[in-house]
Amino acid sequence: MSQRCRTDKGGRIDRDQTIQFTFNGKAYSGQAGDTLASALLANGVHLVGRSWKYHRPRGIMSAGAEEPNAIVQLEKGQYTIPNARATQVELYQRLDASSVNCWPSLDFDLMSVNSFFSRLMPAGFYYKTFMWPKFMWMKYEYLIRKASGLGESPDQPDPDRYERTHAHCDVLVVGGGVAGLCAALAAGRAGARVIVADEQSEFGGLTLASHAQIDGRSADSWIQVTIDELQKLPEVTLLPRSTVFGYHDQNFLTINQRLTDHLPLTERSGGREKLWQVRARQVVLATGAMERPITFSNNDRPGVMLASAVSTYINRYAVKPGNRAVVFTNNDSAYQTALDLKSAGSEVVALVDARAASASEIANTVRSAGIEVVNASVVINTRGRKRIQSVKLMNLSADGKSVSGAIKTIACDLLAVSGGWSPVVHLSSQSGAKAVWHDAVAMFLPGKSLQAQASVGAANGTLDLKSALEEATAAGNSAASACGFNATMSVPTADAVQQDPILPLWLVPSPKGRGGNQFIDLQNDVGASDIQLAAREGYRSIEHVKRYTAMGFGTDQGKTGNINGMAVLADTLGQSIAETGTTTFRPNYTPVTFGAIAGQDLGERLFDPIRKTAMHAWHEENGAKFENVGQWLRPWYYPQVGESMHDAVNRECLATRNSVGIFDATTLGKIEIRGPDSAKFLEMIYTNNWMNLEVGKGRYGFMLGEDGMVMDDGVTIRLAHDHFFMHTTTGGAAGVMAWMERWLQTEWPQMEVFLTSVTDHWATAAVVGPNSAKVVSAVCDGIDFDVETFPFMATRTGTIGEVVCRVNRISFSGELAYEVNVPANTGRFMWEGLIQAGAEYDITPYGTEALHVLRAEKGYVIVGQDTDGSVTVDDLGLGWALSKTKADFIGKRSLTRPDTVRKDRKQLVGLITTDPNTVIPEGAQLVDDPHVPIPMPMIGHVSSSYYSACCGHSIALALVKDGHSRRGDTVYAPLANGQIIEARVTEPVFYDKEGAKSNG
Amino acid sequence: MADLFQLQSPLVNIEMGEAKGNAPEIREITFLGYLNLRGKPGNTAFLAAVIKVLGAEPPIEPNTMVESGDYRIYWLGPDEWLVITPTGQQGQVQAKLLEALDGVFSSVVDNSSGLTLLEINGKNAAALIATDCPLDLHPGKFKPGQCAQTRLAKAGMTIAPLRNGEGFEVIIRRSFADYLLLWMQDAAVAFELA
Repeated sequence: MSQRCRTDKGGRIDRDQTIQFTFNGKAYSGQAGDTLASALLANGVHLVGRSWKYHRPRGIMSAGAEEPNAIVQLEKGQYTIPNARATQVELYQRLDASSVNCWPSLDFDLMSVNSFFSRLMPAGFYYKTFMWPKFMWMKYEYLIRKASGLGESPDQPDPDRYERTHAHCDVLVVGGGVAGLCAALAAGRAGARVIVADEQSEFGGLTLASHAQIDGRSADSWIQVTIDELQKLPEVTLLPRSTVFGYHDQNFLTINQRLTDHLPLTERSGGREKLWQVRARQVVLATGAMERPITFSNNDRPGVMLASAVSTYINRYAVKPGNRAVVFTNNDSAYQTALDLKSAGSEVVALVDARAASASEIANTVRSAGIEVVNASVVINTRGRKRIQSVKLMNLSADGKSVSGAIKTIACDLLAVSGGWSPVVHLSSQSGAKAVWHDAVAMFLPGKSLQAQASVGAANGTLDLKSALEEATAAGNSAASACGFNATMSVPTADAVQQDPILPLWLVPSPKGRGGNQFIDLQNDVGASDIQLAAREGYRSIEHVKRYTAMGFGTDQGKTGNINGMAVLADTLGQSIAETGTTTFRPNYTPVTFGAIAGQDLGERLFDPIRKTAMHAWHEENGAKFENVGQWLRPWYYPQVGESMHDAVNRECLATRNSVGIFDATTLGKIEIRGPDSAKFLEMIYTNNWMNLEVGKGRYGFMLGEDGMVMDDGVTIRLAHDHFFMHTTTGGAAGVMAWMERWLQTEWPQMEVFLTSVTDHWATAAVVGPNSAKVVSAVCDGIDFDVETFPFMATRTGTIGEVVCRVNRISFSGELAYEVNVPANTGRFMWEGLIQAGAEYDITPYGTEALHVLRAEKGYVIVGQDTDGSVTVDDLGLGWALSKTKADFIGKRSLTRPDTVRKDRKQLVGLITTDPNTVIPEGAQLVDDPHVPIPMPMIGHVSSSYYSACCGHSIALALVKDGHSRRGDTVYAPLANGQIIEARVTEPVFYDKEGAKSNG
Repeated sequence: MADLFQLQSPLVNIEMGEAKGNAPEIREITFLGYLNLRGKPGNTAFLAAVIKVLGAEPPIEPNTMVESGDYRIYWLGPDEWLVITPTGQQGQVQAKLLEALDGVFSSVVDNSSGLTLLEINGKNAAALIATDCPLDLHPGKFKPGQCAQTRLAKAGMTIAPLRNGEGFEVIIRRSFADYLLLWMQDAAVAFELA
């Protein structure tokens, strides 16, 4: 071990296992059990980063999740991780870490020139300076983003695998410190299903660095015994390295478990992280407390650390963070740090206590250890550049508002600061319990629980171990009891420690009235003066001040300094902290990788379900290109060798119109409707008449929303007096099913109608074109395919071999056409039979693109393409589908609203371009005059547009204001590239206007 | 034409493969008959007709299933059940039910090609499903005789514990079958290494 600041003994590190790592390209060694921060400190490295705005040198301040300064980039290339907290990075062999936000290097940072101008960069600086002139903002923003920010995002795909799981438990304990372990033991012994999650590699929390005794043994040993017992309980799950980062409604909490980040890159296998989505009946929050700093001038120098962090580095990591230390506090807890420093061999030059007197047991122990305690005194400033060199002290007035007396300078290389403790109320606040300020303890404590949760121990402001164990035991017992277990664990014993009260101190008064560089938020370089300025400029709400000054933003979310900022604002506004309140605590508690959120839902195969028809493999084998339609993957077109999409679609359309085409229509939604009131029900659901539909016949219908707008369409067939078979659009199937169930269940429960979705049961082939009857009749037995006896919109049942099939004479192309339906397990059998039988007519499979062209040639609309939820049946020119005789149907009332009857609604028209070969892009806006200045008055847009090989020119459907009375007018589509396409408004039917082809 | 005949399961194009490591075994039970049965449980004529054909009353207790001879009846809703029959018997059972239920407000719909059944077996069966299923699969909470409609990843499923105590049967829709099997095979990787 060449680690010059490593103590000779103690700590929880493994002295036999040395670990080599690099920081900013320089090689160092540490020990197993170190964090990156503790290993750096063991090597005497305090300077680890530069601040965000002024690029001031910054050092390791804490030993945990609250760290604002020691933000590092880990590894390079595809394994790089930005913005890791060095205090939470477990050291591993060959770890490669570097500082963020330094250019060209940490030691020599050019951007630190900003710090000389800090007086010119006050709160709201960006708003005030760069927002004007407005058009320059994009340029400024680029430079600001480059100059600021923290780590660099990876620019390569993440090679890691991320796992996830759902979990359920009776009691979720958040935090594996002694309070959490104690609550878990109480609930676990009673037999409850318990999950204990702790963000560190080891359970024990801050107590791992303490000298406490529990149940007559050292805290270390009690922790180990407790973990051993918990591990033996079959219903208890212990999750180390697991951060509970979100607390949502109904006791739903999210945990990110780090599985491999602590291992050398070469030894990692399996998932990197695992996202736990936990539903807990009861939650115990034992999230502990974070020490907070005291704000004074130049409180940000490397070597200024939180006192508890100093103790943690000494006791847990066997690191001596400084040789000559000053301790500055306003409460009792830092006295232990003075003792820890002394035992680690550091010289403790002074313990500066803002309180007029301190006489508790520990204060006396410190004095008797020979450490000078300076009461009624404060640190007003520090000196040093890359490491603190000295502190300046003055006397604090009795009212705490001013400092006086001679300035005393003390040389030191470490300043351990404690401003008291802030319970980690983040999760409690996220659960809905708004934190409440308590003057007596100078803390925000968890508010009234709105969910089944309780905070215990330091998280509840209970810093004393004995009381914390009492709370935790009670909470564990009561959480288990609430789940029906008999939980009666007795409280582990610990000595009560009497502490003197804290003297709240947030900002040390400055000798000349105004001090500089009093940092509140170290990560965002927000000073006390920024908060005061914001208040002077009229900001009152803490939420506004946060956004104006950037206090509490960044990767640490202000975990250390926010409270000081709230206090400074309160003081400036002359109000209490309770009146000022806190900013909102939101998920995530610490940053979570996108990988953990995405899990395995990645890539083309798994990002979203891909639904396939029974004939999918045939389409693949026959060269289909596919397109996504909702979640379905549908054949788009079937290019032959050398064909472009345009060629293929033209060929498919012509073959269908001239001979026969075949199309996979399986994806249409299918719903069976049964019951005596089925026809009555359809009368309400659809706009047209259904009572009079004959058995064995189908009818096309529109469904409207309650707003009168077209919602879905399709053909529904009457199979029996009380039995219908409905087709919906592909994308609308699930919505229509839910819509109809909703009406039946909530509005018309008296109707005797049952619905069953059978979309997946049937495979459907549409056989289309003048030769279609010949093909279908060759395959289907038991059906007379004479066009007179089997008329349009009729249904027949027959057989294909052994398989019963239903054939519907429906057309979405204007051609003679049959939809052949069989149970999908025989779908491919049916399809290949039709292909085989169609060979002599050169049967041509066609995809959705040709389908669209064929239907657009006939002016048939596609709901969702030619409609967008703001189109009525009248707008489509299909008013015949609206029953004039029915008393009611869904949406009817809305059809007489002034807006639905106004004349200038956008209405469906056809467009024929002046140049027959130009196809207007779908979505193009239409104008009357393309030469008026932008913004031009827009009169409509193109909803469908194709080249029609059958017509020999391009065709389009468009929605145009007052379009029904504009036939013959010329309109223009000005495109973004400057091209202007001229077109004539026509009726929306381009092919076989008389409908002569529907009988073949 | 007849020479072309074959039944194809929804998973005909997927290589099922062997379970590796501690990953559970995934097996498709193909071509069972699936009938969607609807009726009012308060209607004694409905219940009597179902008992006559299936030999058991449809379960009224939510999220439970009953077995009756070769048939299994799963509760899907207060007036909806899934009846599973042996392969090829669905048409016959449907016809019998329709006959027995003539004049009774009810519905019997064949959905046999719309669904398929997977058995997921092995000590990590629950863990594999829990990867992305929000249901509590703890053996004390979800026992043989219970069933539930929930989701697996981004698709719906009906799930029931197998009698062997460490497996589940999962009924999924045909069009989602490829996606779900690929998803399960991907999720299984987490257990293959263990």
